[in-house]
Formats: sequence, structure tokens, C-alpha cells
Amino acid sequence: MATALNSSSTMENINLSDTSIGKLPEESSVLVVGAGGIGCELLKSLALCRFRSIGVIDLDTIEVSNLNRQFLFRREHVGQAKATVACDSIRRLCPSIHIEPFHGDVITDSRFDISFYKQYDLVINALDNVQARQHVNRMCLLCSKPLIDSGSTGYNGQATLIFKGRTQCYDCIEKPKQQRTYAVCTIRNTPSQPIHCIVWAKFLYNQLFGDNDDPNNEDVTPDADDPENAYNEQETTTTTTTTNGHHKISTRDWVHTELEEFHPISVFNKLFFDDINYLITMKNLWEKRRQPIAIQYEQAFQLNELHQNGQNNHENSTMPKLNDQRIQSISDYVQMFIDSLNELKQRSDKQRKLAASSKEPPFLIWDKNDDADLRFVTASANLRSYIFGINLTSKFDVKSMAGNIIPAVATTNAIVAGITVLQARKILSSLPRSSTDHTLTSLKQLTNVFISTNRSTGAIIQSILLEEPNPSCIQCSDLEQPVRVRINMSLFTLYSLYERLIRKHLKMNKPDVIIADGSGRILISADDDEEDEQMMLKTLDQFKLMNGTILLCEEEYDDKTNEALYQHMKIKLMLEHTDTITDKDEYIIVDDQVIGEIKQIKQSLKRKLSEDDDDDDNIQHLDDYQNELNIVKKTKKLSTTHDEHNNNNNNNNGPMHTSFVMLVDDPVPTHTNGHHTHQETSENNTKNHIQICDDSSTSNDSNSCVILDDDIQTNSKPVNNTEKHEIIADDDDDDDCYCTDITEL
Amino acid sequence: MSKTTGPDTKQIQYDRQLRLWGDHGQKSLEVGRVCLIGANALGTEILKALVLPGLGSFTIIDHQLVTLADCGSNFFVHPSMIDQSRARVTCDLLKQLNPDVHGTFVDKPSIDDLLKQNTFDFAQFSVVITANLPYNTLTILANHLWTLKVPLIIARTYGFIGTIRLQLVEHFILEAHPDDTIPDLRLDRPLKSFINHCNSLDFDNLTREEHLHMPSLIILFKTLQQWQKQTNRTDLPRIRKEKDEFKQILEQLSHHSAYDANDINRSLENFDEAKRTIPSRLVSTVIPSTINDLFQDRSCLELSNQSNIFWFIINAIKLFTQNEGHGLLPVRGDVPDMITNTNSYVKLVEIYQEQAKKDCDIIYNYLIDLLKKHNRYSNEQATLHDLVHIYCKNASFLKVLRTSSMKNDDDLLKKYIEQLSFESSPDEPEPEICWYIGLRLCDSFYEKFNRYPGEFPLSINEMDTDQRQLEIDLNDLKQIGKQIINLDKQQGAVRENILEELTRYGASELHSISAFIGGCCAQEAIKLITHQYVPIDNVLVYNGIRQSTSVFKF
Repeated sequence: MATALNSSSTMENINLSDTSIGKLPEESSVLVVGAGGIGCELLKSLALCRFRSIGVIDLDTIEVSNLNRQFLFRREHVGQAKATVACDSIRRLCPSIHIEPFHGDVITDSRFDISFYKQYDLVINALDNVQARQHVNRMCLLCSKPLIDSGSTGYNGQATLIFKGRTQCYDCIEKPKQQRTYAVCTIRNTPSQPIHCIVWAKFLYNQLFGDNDDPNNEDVTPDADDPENAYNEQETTTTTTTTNGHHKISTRDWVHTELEEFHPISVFNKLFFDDINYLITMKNLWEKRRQPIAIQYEQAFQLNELHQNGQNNHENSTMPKLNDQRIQSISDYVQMFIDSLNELKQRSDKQRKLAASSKEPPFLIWDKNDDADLRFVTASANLRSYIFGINLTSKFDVKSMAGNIIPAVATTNAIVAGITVLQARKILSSLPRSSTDHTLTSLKQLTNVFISTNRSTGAIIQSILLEEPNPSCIQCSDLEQPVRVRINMSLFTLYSLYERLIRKHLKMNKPDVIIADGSGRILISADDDEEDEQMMLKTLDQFKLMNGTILLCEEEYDDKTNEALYQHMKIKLMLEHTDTITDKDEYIIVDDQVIGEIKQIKQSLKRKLSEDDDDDDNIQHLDDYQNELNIVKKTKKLSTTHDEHNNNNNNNNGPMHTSFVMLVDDPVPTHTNGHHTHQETSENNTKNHIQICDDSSTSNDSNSCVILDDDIQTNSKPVNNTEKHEIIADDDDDDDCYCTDITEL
Repeated sequence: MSKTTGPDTKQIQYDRQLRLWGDHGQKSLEVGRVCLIGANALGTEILKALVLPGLGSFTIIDHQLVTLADCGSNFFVHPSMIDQSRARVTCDLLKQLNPDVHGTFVDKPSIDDLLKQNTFDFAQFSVVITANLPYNTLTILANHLWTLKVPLIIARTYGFIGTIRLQLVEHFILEAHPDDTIPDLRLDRPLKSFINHCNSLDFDNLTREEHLHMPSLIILFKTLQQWQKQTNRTDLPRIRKEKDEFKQILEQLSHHSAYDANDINRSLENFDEAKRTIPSRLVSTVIPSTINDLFQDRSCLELSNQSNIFWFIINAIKLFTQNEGHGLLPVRGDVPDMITNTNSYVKLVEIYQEQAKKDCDIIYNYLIDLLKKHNRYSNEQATLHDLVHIYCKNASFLKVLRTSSMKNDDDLLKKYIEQLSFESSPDEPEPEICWYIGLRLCDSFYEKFNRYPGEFPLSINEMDTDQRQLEIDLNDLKQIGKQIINLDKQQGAVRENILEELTRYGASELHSISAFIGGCCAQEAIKLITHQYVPIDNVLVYNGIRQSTSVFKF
């Protein structure tokens, strides 16, 4: 499996002098994605290793908690764009360097398309989240660029190499579920651990101040559909609809409709008294559980003794503890709740006013680094914990658990960056010097490197031989090239996607449409007989699909309807956003690989259909109809396991619908059907959150899982006992970052 | 976007690392004083990784002026600074990284003269770090620091090779942060208060609620009690059959009369947890052999007025184990999370923490007696109590690290060389120690010629001249090898290709190697200053060609 390491030849391959084989740093250009902890170190090391052309992408702005390791930034830079400040700092010390900052989201910003990546010889990831890593991995695979993926968590780190067809790609090994999921009922009805209450508190924040359109905005009221509650549901619903009718509506709606005037004490009593009392009426839940104790504001304020704080009292009191690490009394949390709620309410109103006259969003986004946000979640979570008899959690720990905080320190980042730059030089030295064909000539001396500096044995790094790609990898296996579709995400509807593109154009019957981001979430289910019309008319950006998302359309053999022709057909679609398309139903299939392969298909068509076609080489002369047909056939052929079925099935469906379709070679159109000339724009105003929503087909199932907000996790301590591991994050200050688990490979 | 309200900025700035070494680790770092000798790329990389996390203060000793070559590899110098004092310019720029850190420099006299004059106070530093310091100077410094008992970290980069060597007379590791620990719960040697608590629970007449929330630790203890009664034993089940009996009793206890027939199949989380945690709870409690070694250590047995506080506390702990502890270390006091309600959990925490506190107080009293006996007692009781608390919590993992002195290095090196000539075959890749030996030869070359092999100004137009000079240097290096380590006979130890490669490097400093070694070295310095985590013991060789590291004991 693994490429052999030939150690005797290593020394000849790397050379300090100019006579080295391969590209020199001076002549190559590198793209660094991420200007955080490792990013800063990388840029410095690249500059000092004579790399003269560097591009830097980062979405973030500088925060105080970055300063303990991101040395290109100072206190006076807080609030400014990381990419810009980092480039300025590097330029000040190396004036001759060509270094270009790109402040933007590597996933959603349309500036970063395939042609952007093609400018560079090498891409280095210094990212802190899986989704961005997967995206860059995908882009590098599409344009066959070598990629180094670097990362660190606490004392551990890694610098792994990804090269299409030669090594495992980022997605070759399935990532363990990064998001911890909790059953809806656990969060809403029967929490038993502190994390359940913290998750609930973050949901509450979003209910009160968050994005109303966010499909992940989960309700926090008691859930009467709890299956455990099933057998006496009738009784409870009859009693409650009369007395406590407001439990049937979400907390958000309650605040907006039931409350005449926003009053923190009313909110307190609803959440911690009325809702809890309602929960208590769901008797089945408490047969095997401790029943919660509802608390009213007036009475809660009396709880100023350290009633609940056994933990605190008996922690050795001589050890100095910072305020944030102390557990406070219930009355303190009541006060904290009221204060932070007031503060956030004011902020929320201000934000809404601001949104009316600017591009600012009309809602608040929870930020672990914001004190009011953190106090609100700490107070709410602890009040709920108290009610359910769960251990209380200090503010410091709530921050870890709610904010997905990854420990980070300058030393590890310096080590990882040093290794990464050496890896970069090795890759370059194995690239042919003059050619633009970026095929590695030799991978012999290249290894994946894993780092951990806290081992008692002291062996800091571990080199692991490169592994062959996983042949069934959905991202990098050649068998399954995606069909690239360019659309306007904010206009194109789910209906158009499914009916026009997938069913009519790609000739699939009724496939499942699955989001191929590792989560395996289903966008459209084939089993759903009656589609929700409301949902089908939503535009794709409302599902938080993003530029570069790959959708897997998969049909299964169905013997009842005798559709053997389609059996087990798979097509991958890669969505690319563009603002230039202004028609809501229009889409453009872009695929240079497809164009390239049409020749082959034509050849095979000729043989199979015994056609006598003269112009065998120049596909430009093919008419559009033929062209499309070929692509459809080709994609089917590539993805159908039983080849013999796929040649004639298009005939059944009549002529192709062509009015909104055209084919373009990327990036310059080679031929059009007369409707459009395609142009790229660099502006992209749909800055999507990177989460993809669950589709509503599962949401009425009360047992369904809540997909947590990206940045929640229960365990933020560094995990030390894995020998070799992949580190997903190098930095924690991205609120979109959602994983930190160090995973064994 | 950034809203920095609330807690002070320092807490926020260091938040991510506090989660690694805690507030007290940060406090130790903030009073740490580091001396760096050599403000080259390696030296500044080391200091950068110490200044950013908030070191107390640093002192740079370097008499050289900034050269153009520095600008090529050192981030903290700039072509506009050429011919200025390297110590001063790097000190200024490093201080800018973190205004909390104090920085000073000494650019006159040179380190050699400082050592000759013997007036500079090296004892003030927590750690002294050298970056690419020539061997001669290094040995003098190392001997000096050895007598002062100041820890020394020797960092070096040479082409694609990097090395770190620690010279420690005695380093005490208080918080080793082992990867996984078995909680100290002592079911085999239960605490009295724990037994009382368990006996107060009438297991046969629990309400359904109580049964549901019974902590797994108590379930296991009840099971153990019944098992011991049944088998007439006093220890833990060991063999398979005994463990099966144990599990049977556990199963019986999980039944409760209040559950109807349907309920029996429903799993009880607390009993499941009990079953799951058997391997980590039913363990015998003993004093680890490493701690027994410490008790028998000469420094422990021969306690004197001059002894480090570490040995006083070890002595106090030893007294405790011989008396109140009944052969066991103080209770750690931590109780792992359990599926139960708050009150039951808090009760358990109280039991263990109370005992931990009692044990800690007893040891503290022993310590005070010992200090008084040796005339070391002062009035710093409060901090001393905190310290004892840390020792007690980490009592099973306390460790002392000792290395040899630099002056014995050549003898030790010879031992490695002898081993190598037996063990290695020329077909296999060379062991990393060979590079360390090769570097020692380069040092001898330096002593003889006052430059490293291959280190000479390149003549741009005359490649041949350079090539010839390289060959001459390589030959000289081989000659030195023959004299020092009898290279002809010891073929396995140093191979020609290594000497060739080292000559080709010409002592050049590659930034990415310096970044790596700089990071590692700073990490070791933090370990020494905070007494947390286990340092490298004690020579690290990094091979950038192969991306590998090895550790050797010297």
C-alpha cells in the first residue's frame, strides 16, 4: 500500500544549492489558506525560505486571544482583517516579497474558483475547521495541485501531504462525526449532563436573538411529542391547551406575540417556571428520572446560599481560583441571567435598527469571546442544571464547552510551521522545474508528519509513509468526477434542482439527493412521496448549500416499478455559485474534464452504436444536442455499475430540454447555444454560513437528532493518548469551526 | 466585530494556553527568567515562542553585529540594521511582541569574556539557552552552570540537522500530566468515611428514585462487599471466575422490586456504568515503584539544610505513608464524573476531598517539622500549603530528572560509537546518533581552524575553487575523525556520506529547521520553568531530511 521510502537516495534529492532538481522557492508561488496560529508562522518561514510569491486567504479579524501566538499581530491590530495585517507585517520585514492578502471566506467567496487555484504551484492549509479543509481539498483535487494540510491542537500537530491520485486525500478516510448530536428530547425535556443544558442555552440565545431563517435554530420549549410521553399524551394535551396554551408555540413566537413588553423577569418565569411545570405534567418522563424543580424568579433570588455548590466548597480553597473558574450561587446566576438578557436585548434592538440602514444582519450571532453572550449562556445553562439536579459549570468551562475552545500555544505552531515549510520545499523539489504539468516526479522522500511535544519519551515527531488513495473515496476517485453546475444559489430553487436538472436533464428517475460533506445528510429523499411544496420553492442558499458543495444523486433498484435501467445509478453534482446568472431556472454545466472526455465517449459511442461519424476529433463541431446527450451518457456511464444498460435509455424521454442549458469550458466559453456569454465576477454577496441544514422531511420526527451548532463540543481538553492522530484545528477563533476531536487515523 | 468587554485582557490573551498549564503554570512562566546566548535565527525563534506566551523576562547575550546573512534567515533583523548590535535590535523587536515581557541585552563584553571575568550572575536565571554556541565556549559555560545548578538548554541547527541537549543537575517534575490515569478511588482500601457512607445506604430498601441515582462507585463497592462476604476474601476478584461471580452479584443488585416486568429489559445507566468501569475501579492501590525510588534516593535520605524543598516534601510524604497513610500515598481527591444526581455526586466528592485535605494537612505538618528541624522554616506558610497541595494531587507522578554534565559527553559518545560498530550495518539508514557524532567532529574542526567545515565565502565565478576547498575540508574532517574516534576501525559510527553532507552544509542555518528546533526548545524551557510535563531526557536529534527525531540519554 504505502510508497516505499528509499532513504539512501534522500540526500541527493534535497539540496541546499541552486543545482537542485525541481522548482526553487523563488520561482514558485504558494497559496496559504488561513492566517491564524500556524498561518503566521508559515508566512514568516516561507518568506525567510525565499518564497517570493505568496497568496493568503483568511476570513477572520484579529482578536485579543490570538495574541499569545499569532505574532504578526499586535494589540493595536485587534479588529482588523488577519490576511491584510499579516501581509503588511511580512512586507515590512521582507520588502521584496510579492504577498497578496485575500480577506474572504475560502468556501463561499466566488473569487476563489478553480482558475484562482491554478495560479499557484502549491497550496497549504492552515485552517481550523473541517469544512474549509474539505473544500480546499476538493479544489486542489479538481485542478491537481499538491496540498499540504497543517494543523495543531495543544501540544499536537500535523503536516500531511495530499496529491491527487498519489496519496490519500483529506476525505479518503471518513472523519468521525464531528458534531455531537443529542436527541431533541434530551435537550428540550430530559437533560442529564451539563452539556445538554449548555446546548439548550445556546438554542435559547438563538431563539431570542438569532437568525430567524436559520433552519438550525432549534426550539427550546418542552416537546410534547416525546415518544416516552406517548401513552398519556392525550391527557396532558387536553389539560395544557386550556391552561398553558403557549407551550405549543416556540419561545421566539412567544416572545414576539405573547409578551406585550419585553421583561426579563417574565422570560425567566416562562423558561424556568411555566415550561418546567409543564414538563412535570409529562409524567412518564419522570418515572425513572429525578423530576425537575421549577423555580420562580422571586424565590430563586433567595437562593443565595451555596446550596448547590458542594463542588466549590470542597475544592481546596487555598488554591487560588480566578473568578471565571469559580462556581457561583444560584442567585448570582439569576442576576447574571437578568443582566445579560437586558444587555443583549438592547444590543439586539440596536442591531435591528442598524440592519435597516446597512448590510449588517438583523440578528446577533453568538460569540464565545463576547462577555455578555458568554454570561447569558452560563447563567441560563446553570439555572437549568440546577432545576434538573445537574452539576453546575463554571464560566471558564462553559466557554470551553460552548465555544469549542481548542488549546493553542506558540511553540507547537512554530514546530508545525517549520515542518510544513520543509514539506513544501520537498514537494517543490520534486516538481518538474520548467513544465506547468504539476505531476510529482517522485514521492519517495515525502512522508506525513505528526507531532506531539508532550510525550514523556521525547520523540517529538513521527513520520508516516504516504498511503495510497482510497479507491472508493467520494472526493478523489477518478470514477466519480462531479458534474459541475453553475447556478445562482439565491435564485435557483430546490424544485429546479430536482425536477429540471436532476430528473429532466440528467435523466434520473427519483434519486435520493445527499449532501456529500461527510455528514451524509439527505436533501431530498426518494421515499418522500409528497414533497413539501413550500420547501421545494425555497432557493438553494436557504438550505445553506454553498459554493463547492457536492451533491450525490443516487438511485436504487426498484423492482416494483421495474426500473432496472436505472439501477444503482449515481451522479455527483458540484454546485458553483455565480451572480451573473439572473434567471431563476437557469443553470450552466461547466466541466473541462467532461469536455475532455467527450472524445472518448464519442469513440465508444461509435463502436457501440456503429455510427459513422467523420469529425472524430473536434468536439466543437458537435451540435449541442449531441453534446448534452453525451455528457448525460458519460456521467451515467461513469457512475453506473452495469454498463450495458445505459446506452439507449435516453430515447424514452424524448428530446433534451435545452433552453436553459449550455456547456462551457472553464474558464473561457468554447461554445454557447446563443443564450449567454459567460463571465466571471469577483463579487459574491451571499456569504453563507457553512452549515448545511437538515431537510424538513426528517424534522417532524420527534426522535430526530438536533445537529448542534458548529462550535459545540463537550470535551475540549487535548487528547494525548493517541499515538498518531490527525488534528483538525489550529486555531479556535472561528465560530464556524466545529470540530476538535483528535481522531485516530 | 470584536467586543472585548468583561474580564481583563491578559486572561483573554492567554486563554488558549491556560487550558494547557493552568493559572499557576502561567504564574510560574510570568516570573521565569531566561538567558539566551546567541541572537541568531535559532535564538530569536526560541525567544519568540517564549515571549508570546508571556515569559517574565529575558536577557540576550550577543556581542556580534547584524550582517547581511542574518537578514536572510532571521525574522527579527532587517537590512537597515546592518552593523548595529544584534543583541539590541533583536531585543527591541522581541519586546514588541508582548509588552508584558521584560527584555534586556548584553552586547559587551562577549560571552567568552563574561565567562573569563566570572562576574556575570548566571544564577539569577531559571534557564540558560544557547543557540549555536561554539563548543569551547559552551563547555566552559556548561561547567559554570553545572556548579550553579542552573538548567541549560543547548540548541543547535546545522543545515538539515537540529539538536537539543539538556543539562540538568536535578529537575523536579511536579505535574507530569500523564496521558491516562486511573482515578484514585481505593475500593480495595476504602476510606473510612466512604465505608460509613455506603453502610448508611440500605441497599435492600431503596426507593426507585434512589436506586436509579445510586452512583456506580457505590454500586461497585456494595458488590465488592457482598462478593468478599460470599467468598470470605478481603481483596479484589482477580481471576476470570471471580470476576464472573462479581458481575453476577452486580446483576442481582440491578434488580429492584419497584420495576414491573417491562422495565427489566430497560437498561439502567448507572449499573451499566458500574459494569463498564470495573477495569479502572477494581484496581489495587499501591505506591508506584518510581515513588519508592524517590523515597530511597540519596537526596531524600540525606536531607540537609541545603536540600531543595522538593526533597523536604518527599520526606514529609514518606513519613505520611509510613504512619497515617498505612503504606499508601495521600488521597488525590478527584472523583470522575458519574451518572447520578447532584446530591449523591457532591456527597462522594466531599468524602474524597475531605480525606485529601486531611492527608494534605498531615503532610504539611510533617513538612513544617522537617523544615524547623533543619532551620529552614520561614513564614511563607500560605504558598507552602498550596505547594503541598500540588504535590499531594500529583503524588503518584512526581519525578526527578538528572542528566550527565557536558564534560562527560565525549566519554558517553565513545560508548555510543562502540555500540554502533557492533550494531549497525552500512545497508541500513544511519541511526540519528551518527549525526550527533558528526557534529562533534565539526566542533573539533572549528577548534582547529576557527571555522566550520565548508564554511567559507563562496567564490561566485570559480565553482572549481569552491569544490576543491570542500574536498580539502572533508579530508580534514575525516582526519579529525580518525584522531578522535578512530574512524577507520569504527566504520559503523560515522559514515562518509554524513561527513560529506555536513561539510556541504557549511554550518548554514535553514530557517525552517530553526523554526522547528526553536519551537521544541521553547517548549522544553516552559516545561523546566513550570515544572509541568516531562522534558526530553536529554538529547534530541532532528533529521530534516527524513523528518524524524530520536532521543538519547547522556
